[in-house]
Amino acid sequence: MKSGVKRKLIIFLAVCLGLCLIAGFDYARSRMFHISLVSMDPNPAVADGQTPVTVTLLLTDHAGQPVEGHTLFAISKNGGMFHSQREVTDGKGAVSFIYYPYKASGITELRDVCLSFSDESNSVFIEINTKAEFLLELKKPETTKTDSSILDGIFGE
Amino acid sequence: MKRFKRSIALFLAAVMLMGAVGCSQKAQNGDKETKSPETTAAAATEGTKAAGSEAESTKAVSDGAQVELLVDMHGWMPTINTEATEENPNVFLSPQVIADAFQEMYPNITVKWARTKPVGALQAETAEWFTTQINAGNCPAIAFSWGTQYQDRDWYLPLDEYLDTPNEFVEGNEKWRDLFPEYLWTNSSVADANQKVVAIPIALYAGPATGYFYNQDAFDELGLQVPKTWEELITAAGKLKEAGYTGVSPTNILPNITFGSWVEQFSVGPYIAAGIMDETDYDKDGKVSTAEQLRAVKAGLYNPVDKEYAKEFFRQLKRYYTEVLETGWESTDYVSLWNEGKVGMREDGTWILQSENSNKERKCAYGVFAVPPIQKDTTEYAADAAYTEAGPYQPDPDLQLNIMKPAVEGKPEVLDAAVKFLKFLTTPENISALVLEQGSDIGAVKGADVPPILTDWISQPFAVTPKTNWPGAFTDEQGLALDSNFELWVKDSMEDDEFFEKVNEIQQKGADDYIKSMNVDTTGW
Repeated sequence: MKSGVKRKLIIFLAVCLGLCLIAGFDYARSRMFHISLVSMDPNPAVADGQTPVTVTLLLTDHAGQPVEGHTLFAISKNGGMFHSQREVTDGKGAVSFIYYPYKASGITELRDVCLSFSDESNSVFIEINTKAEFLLELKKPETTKTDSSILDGIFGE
Repeated sequence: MKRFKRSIALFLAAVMLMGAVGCSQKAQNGDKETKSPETTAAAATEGTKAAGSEAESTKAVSDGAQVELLVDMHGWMPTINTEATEENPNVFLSPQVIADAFQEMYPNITVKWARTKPVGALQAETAEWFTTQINAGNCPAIAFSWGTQYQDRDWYLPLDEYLDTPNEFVEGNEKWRDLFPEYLWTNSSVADANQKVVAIPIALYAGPATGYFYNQDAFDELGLQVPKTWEELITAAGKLKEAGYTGVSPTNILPNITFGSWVEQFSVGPYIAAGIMDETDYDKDGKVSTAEQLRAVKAGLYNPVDKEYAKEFFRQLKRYYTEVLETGWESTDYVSLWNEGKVGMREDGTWILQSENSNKERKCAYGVFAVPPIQKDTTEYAADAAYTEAGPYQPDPDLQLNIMKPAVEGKPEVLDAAVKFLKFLTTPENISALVLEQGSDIGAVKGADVPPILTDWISQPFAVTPKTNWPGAFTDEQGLALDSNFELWVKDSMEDDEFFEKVNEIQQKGADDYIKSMNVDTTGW
């Protein structure tokens, strides 16, 4: 093998090794944190598109100590909407999200939703985040409409 | 830092792929396989069923012959991805769910999405896209084009005869039009210059389309109140500038000087135009239609050469660029400045409410206020604004859909399918599904749900926007001419008198062209 090719190969492998190391570092770091569910209120929630659900989480480190100032990112994997998709943990490592379920109707069957949370602050080099998923049970609304959710008054009729 | 991390992640992924040493198929970022819209359609609706599909037997249009219905819902198209992920959290599935339910009822109709449209492009570029699709025989049968934007091109099918038939998907409905609030049928983005309905409203703005997001910390520091009028906004912007803040950052949707700025559309235009409604509302029905605007243009009522109120209208538009915005606004990154708490007020749309709630990079508390109208504290020519106690009043359509003539002419089966799909789309249940998932609009039919994220926004008083606005140039060609002359004038490269002459020439030419192309009846003018 020519020395030039060998040198390039060594550089390439060194770059790969370096990148694997930083990825490994972030991966290891992501394992140091833990997101746990404190409460989901109400649970089961009403699938009416309106009634808010407060999801409270706790972020702790490897020693079980609360972690302050980390930004958690929330998504619902199958319907509904968060009032804010990002919240920051407080001094007790706690954070609350407001989630609005989808509306069960003739076109959308009742199903539970999977809420996923990731810690955007734990990684140093690349995005390998601590993650946790929780299932929220939903139930059908007792009535199809609530007065507060309809605003026909804006139409001036 | 985030960008840096992403760059490293991308670089790492590339190196691993090249070196064939990685395991990208099972990487944490998950499945990135691209799927066609058709293949994702079934996946999108997993866990859902057709509205009424069990109650109703399957039906057919056009004796069961296969019909392909091409649909463009602009920014409301279903997303390709069907499950939200950290990397791609934006998922919008309700149109696909509705289409699946429709296809289940009508197995011989296939709904396809027109995904090549340049969503986000301005009107001229979108017109080019439509022209290309029409010439190639690919025009969507149902499309979004700002309702009446291209009415002079004869692309829209008049819809009144269909609106007078029942919507068979709503029990007890006798006329489809009864599902909608009456005021929409004379809205200038729904009815054309001849008062023919050419667009079906789907979703409405939650009040005015835009608002001002403001830096609460800066307002508290300077003792500022939320502006109630255009003049108060200018004053507040001045105080913020003096204190070292950016007074107002403009929307990034309109990155150049343009006649049709949001200030023109929402703050200044309606209220100065309302000041002359006694003359322009010829039929005294409380609103000024496009035909009445044309008549008023031909009568010289909007002519800034000899009408002082028209001069004042343009001067106020100029103030926005010369007094409110700061020098170099076109090339300034206001997102960073806003996040750093250095912007006092940010002009933006209500559609960013959720993303702003989620913005944890912003270092200041924020609030939102509705667009303040120009009032007598600026000019005697402004009409007095009335306010609601809470909530918007008769908001304009944000999404309205046309049936495109070039796609349905000579194809009754496609027309039949298009009308049926629009009827199905506009049941209160389906409109609710759309707006609840979209989150920042109100449904255009009575009885539709309001997204809960709008609760705070719609609890504030709103100005009742007059049912008139200042006319532009009526055609795309004259619109471009108006924009370029307006820019020269704002930049002091054109004298007032010359500019006002140009405006009148452009409006007269635009009105003449429009009257001719739309065959507007001018009898009695």
